[in-house]
Amino acid sequence: MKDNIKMVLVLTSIALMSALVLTGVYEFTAPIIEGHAQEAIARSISEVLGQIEDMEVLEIEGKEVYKAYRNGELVAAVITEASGYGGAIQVMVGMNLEEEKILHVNVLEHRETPGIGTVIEEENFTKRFAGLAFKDSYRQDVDIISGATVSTRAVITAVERAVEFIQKHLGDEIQLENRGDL
Amino acid sequence: MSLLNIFKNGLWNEHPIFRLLLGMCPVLAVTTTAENGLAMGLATTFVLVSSEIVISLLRNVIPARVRIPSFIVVIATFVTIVDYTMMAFAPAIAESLSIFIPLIVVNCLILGRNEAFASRNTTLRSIMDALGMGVGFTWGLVILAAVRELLGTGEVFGFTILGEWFPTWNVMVLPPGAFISLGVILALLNQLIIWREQRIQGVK
Amino acid sequence: MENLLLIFAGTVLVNNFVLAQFLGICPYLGVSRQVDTAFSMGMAVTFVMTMAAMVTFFIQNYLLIPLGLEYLQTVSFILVIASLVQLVEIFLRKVSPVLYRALGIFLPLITTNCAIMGLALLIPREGYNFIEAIVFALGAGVGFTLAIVLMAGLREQLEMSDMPQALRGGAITLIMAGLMAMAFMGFAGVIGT
Repeated sequence: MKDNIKMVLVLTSIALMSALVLTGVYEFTAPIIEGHAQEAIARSISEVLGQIEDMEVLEIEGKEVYKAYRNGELVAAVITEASGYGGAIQVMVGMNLEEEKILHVNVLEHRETPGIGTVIEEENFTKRFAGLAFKDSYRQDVDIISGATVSTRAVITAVERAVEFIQKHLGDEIQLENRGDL
Repeated sequence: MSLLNIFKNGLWNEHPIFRLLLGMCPVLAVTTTAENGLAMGLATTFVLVSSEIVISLLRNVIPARVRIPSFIVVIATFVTIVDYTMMAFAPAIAESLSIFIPLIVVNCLILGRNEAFASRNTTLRSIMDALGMGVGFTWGLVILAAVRELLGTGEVFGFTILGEWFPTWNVMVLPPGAFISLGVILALLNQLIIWREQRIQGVK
Repeated sequence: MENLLLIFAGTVLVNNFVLAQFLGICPYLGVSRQVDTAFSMGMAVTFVMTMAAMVTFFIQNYLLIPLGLEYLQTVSFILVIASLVQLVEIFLRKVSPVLYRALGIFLPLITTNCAIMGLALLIPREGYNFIEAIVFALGAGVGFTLAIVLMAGLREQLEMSDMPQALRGGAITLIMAGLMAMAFMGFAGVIGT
């Protein structure tokens, strides 16, 4: 009996100590970790949209949409994903809503084969999207990289999804604004 | 055994990777670049040293029957500390090691050393044991990772070693390369040991 | 349904736990000398994996997340897995002595098997729901069994062959595992998008 009590006491106090220490560690590191995540998104937004002003973050269907103005024109960026070779590939797509064109595409997260599927990260591939119009067929206009068919096709799918999403949810907004200009 | 011998033990005689084949999951998984290998080695060493200190201090307090759960909680605590610290201060490396940082908790090397050594020895001796094993584990990881990075990309620690003329063996940084390069290194080390034993016997 | 099939086939063949994700290497190298023990080990791992996936799913979604205690994930998962293995052991001994004799000796080994813990950590990261998590666990277990049984088959044959002493044991097993991993990479093209 005495042994049992000691057992429970020792285990409980070790667990309590552990929880206490970890709470401290978490309180200390959580803001820094959160900061890194914000920084990464901010960096990616400036990569895909360039010099922007008046950025607004909209919550649409659980996705964050970053809406802003560049040289007075309405631009937006959104993160979408599609499954590649090693799992989901996350892509941020920046678009000019008034010219209905893609500005720039940035691959955020992926687990593609190193040295093969990783070509999707390279500027050489992502620049193929720049300047394409919303109505273009990306499957025809963006060349697949041979040897990395699955990975490149997944990026194309993700970009299609982003364009579709933005057209569906922000399409009206442009018309409203244009009317305002008149 | 003297303190120095305890330390030296982990460097070669009971080398965790090459002699005992312990903690193989991270050894194979994260050794795609020398930098990742080094980071994993240091993280494991930190957990090993801290947990052996705590366990050796508590060795007379913890009843035998709750030994394993107590060890697990202590180890998991230090693993979480490493995990969050790396996410905060070395986010790029934390991301490339991903789940293999929390998985340090099930590295058999750590539970094994605590069970076999720290729970029966003084704190000072346990620290020497943990340092020896940790350093041994780390150099093993770095060697394997350097070989894979060199043959797979022509670089080591990100510095170009083999020039353009070298057709990089991409397979070395993929899963098959991990198994094959560790297998070949093990075979070479075994051969060295066999030769040495033959020489010693020849002298006699 | 198609999604579940894809998760299952993908986990068994493409992202095989042992050969592509390096989870569960210790038993893979240690318990792969004979086909029948390897098969029993595979079954024990599959069983514990499925249980662990269910239990940790509830802990993550109904305890840690609502209470904002995600930083206790590692501690709580490993404790739960360790106690789960103990419970399974006691339960099997009482209810099915036959099964206990077949799987019992492997159970203590399973606690420090990174395949179980790895599975528990991957489920929240992949964002699977409950059903998907179970299918993922089954796929992981079947994939592990497939890899370890294939390896045991090869090693049984190898016993008879004359091999340089330096290659015996770990070295040749690792090299064969490498060749097997290469063969499994071929599945990636079969089950793509």
